[in-house]
Amino acid sequence: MNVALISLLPLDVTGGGELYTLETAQAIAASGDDVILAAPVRVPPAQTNLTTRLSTPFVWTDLRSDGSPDVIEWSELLTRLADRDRVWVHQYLATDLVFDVIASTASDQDLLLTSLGFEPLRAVFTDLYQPCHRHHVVEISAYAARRAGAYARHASWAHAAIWRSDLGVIDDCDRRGHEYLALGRVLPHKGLETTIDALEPDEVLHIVGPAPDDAYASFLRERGRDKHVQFHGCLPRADVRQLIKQTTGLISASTHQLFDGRLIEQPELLGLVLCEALRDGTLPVASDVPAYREVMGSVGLTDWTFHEGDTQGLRGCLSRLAALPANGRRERITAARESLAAKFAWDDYWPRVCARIEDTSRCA
Amino acid sequence: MRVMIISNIFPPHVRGGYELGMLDVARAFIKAGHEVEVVTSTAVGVLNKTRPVADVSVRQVFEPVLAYESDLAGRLAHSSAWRQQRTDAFGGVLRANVVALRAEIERFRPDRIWIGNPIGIGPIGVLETALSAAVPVLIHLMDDVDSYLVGYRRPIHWLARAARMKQSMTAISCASHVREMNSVVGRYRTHHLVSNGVDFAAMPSQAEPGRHGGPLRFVYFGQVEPMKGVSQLIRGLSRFADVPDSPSFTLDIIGPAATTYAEQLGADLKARGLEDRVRLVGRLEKDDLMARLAGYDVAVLLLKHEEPFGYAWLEAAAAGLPVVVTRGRAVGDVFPTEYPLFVEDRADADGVAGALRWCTSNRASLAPLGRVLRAHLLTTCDTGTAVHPRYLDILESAERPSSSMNVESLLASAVTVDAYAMVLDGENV
Repeated sequence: MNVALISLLPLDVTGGGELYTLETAQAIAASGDDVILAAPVRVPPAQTNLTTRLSTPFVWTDLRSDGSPDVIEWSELLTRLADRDRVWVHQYLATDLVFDVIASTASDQDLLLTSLGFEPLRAVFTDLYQPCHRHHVVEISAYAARRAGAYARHASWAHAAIWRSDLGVIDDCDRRGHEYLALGRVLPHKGLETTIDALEPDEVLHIVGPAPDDAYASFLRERGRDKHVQFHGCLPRADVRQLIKQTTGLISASTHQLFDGRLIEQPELLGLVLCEALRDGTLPVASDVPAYREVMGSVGLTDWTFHEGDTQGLRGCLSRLAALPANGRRERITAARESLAAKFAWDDYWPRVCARIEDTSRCA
Repeated sequence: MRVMIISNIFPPHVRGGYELGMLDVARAFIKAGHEVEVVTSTAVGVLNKTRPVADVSVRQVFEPVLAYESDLAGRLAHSSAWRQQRTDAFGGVLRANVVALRAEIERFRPDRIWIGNPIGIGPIGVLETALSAAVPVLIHLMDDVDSYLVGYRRPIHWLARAARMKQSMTAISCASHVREMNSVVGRYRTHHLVSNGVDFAAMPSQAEPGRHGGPLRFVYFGQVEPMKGVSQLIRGLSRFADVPDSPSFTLDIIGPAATTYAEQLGADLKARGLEDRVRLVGRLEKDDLMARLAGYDVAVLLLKHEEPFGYAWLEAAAAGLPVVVTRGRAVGDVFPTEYPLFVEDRADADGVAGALRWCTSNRASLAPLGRVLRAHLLTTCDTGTAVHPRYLDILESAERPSSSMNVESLLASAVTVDAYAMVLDGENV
């Protein structure tokens, strides 16, 4: 089978969404199918005219080729879709380029659509999009699929977050008590102020990730002025893994209610970071935003969630975690990792997605 | 076998050779024992240009094709609604036609679908709907269909879709350059080359060109419009006549013309002093025209080089007439290599005049030249012995599409992208 995987956002910065796309390409290739990966050179505007859209430069990479990727215009990319049995668009709510793909894929081709969270086009798409049985909205979580139900009643989902081969032995040798990790972009919806507020004076919080929002970063520094909060910025992957091994737990406090009073519709669509923490041997503690609740429930860790924005709730989790004996902690992580391997593996992600497509096609 | 023929227009709506070619194909299939139904556009008002056919089952289910009506199009050229409708008709999807064709397919349940000209009825929608029938789909190309797909794409373009559909279709082109022109947007699964044909045996009478004592009688027939080289013919004729003691001649120009162009031609002829020798005959029924051809000495058909395949020069040759003809791509496919009446460049009035002069200077050679040309074209362009047998072979052997299109998905996509185009239009993005 020939698959074109198109991200409508660039892949040059590796965040959760970008990683998801890259891993998806690897998962398709690992299943033996031919896959090309395409992504724009720069972030395209959410909406623009056809002429501008058609000249948008894209990087086109054939995963089976050793050659350099092509840089081609969107118009050329669209014509190349004629040879593909399946076309998969990631970040389909990021820009109106998605409408060009809908126009360009014939009705004997499957068109898959997956949102990874950046959704400026959501309102327009919800109003205009007409579902059909060759289009498959395959979201990254049941929660995301429910949201897509507003315009695609057969929206389905499949989880993926880790490769089974990456589930190594849990190494507790360097584990330090009272040290926690927050991983990912330092953005308002991450709710890091809740985590900082929950810290006791003797506890340390390591915040790792880029901080593109200056106002929020300043706010957090002020909030954590009297606490042990270390802002590491971006770190090499090896250093991150080292921190994961050393810290007591990973805290992800994402929230709908932002520090400045704004309320957002969805802060997370999955919770990749929770799965990665487990993969690397650390227990995740997560807020109860829908996607996190789904992930934590799937791996049997619902008791390690707290109500979003609830500092006391998080404090309770951290106290329990500090009191948990090493072997008890290891047992919980081991059990969760088994669930993770069964339900969240990239290894069989593409076959699971294909099965979902077949199911929905049969229903239609 | 049940064969559905799809044609953008069909008698009584006639513009040129393409739709009459489809009529010929339909009759050939019926004669071979197939059950044939032609699905076409609805002829209303001025589109009723000739008699409807009685011997072929015709279903007028598509929207009227008005885009070729030059007077109407000229008047509406500034209307955005007209431009949008025409663009969809020429290069996109007309949803009503998709729905209509689907209903016809469900009712007739064809074993084969043979598509003629899809331009004007929303070619993308028509091809994709045809491919939803899961039977072999063939397209008979006598025009540069790809150029319409490229030239008339609208805010959302459909080229990849077209290229994808071609992979499931069998094509028959009437000339080698037609095959090349239609290999721009992807390639057809199989692409045959079969020249257009006429029934040589059915020509009502054979000409005896040059064998009389009167003025030499030239004839042009076909669409009377600028791209058919009528103006170049007048200029060449004027140059031919504009010498002392030029031989006497007449020219009949036969065919339909837009009002404005007919007026312009009339004025031009008067200005050149040719009005007594050149007659604008107007449109004739085909049978009348064929019967009349044998009364001429030479046909002059200065078609453009890229003309897909003019039936006119074939009909003239079948009637025994020598033809002054532009050495176009299709002509080059089938004419004898050594032929004295080729015009290399129709814009070269001296070259056109030279060919006309050859006719008057070699009057005794016209009849033998006509016979040689007829005999040569008979081997490849006679419908009874060469062309129709190939059509029937290709029809029988055409393969099913490897995957089936889905009309509901096509319509949903069309509604989505059309809606978005309207959003952008409304927001002036």
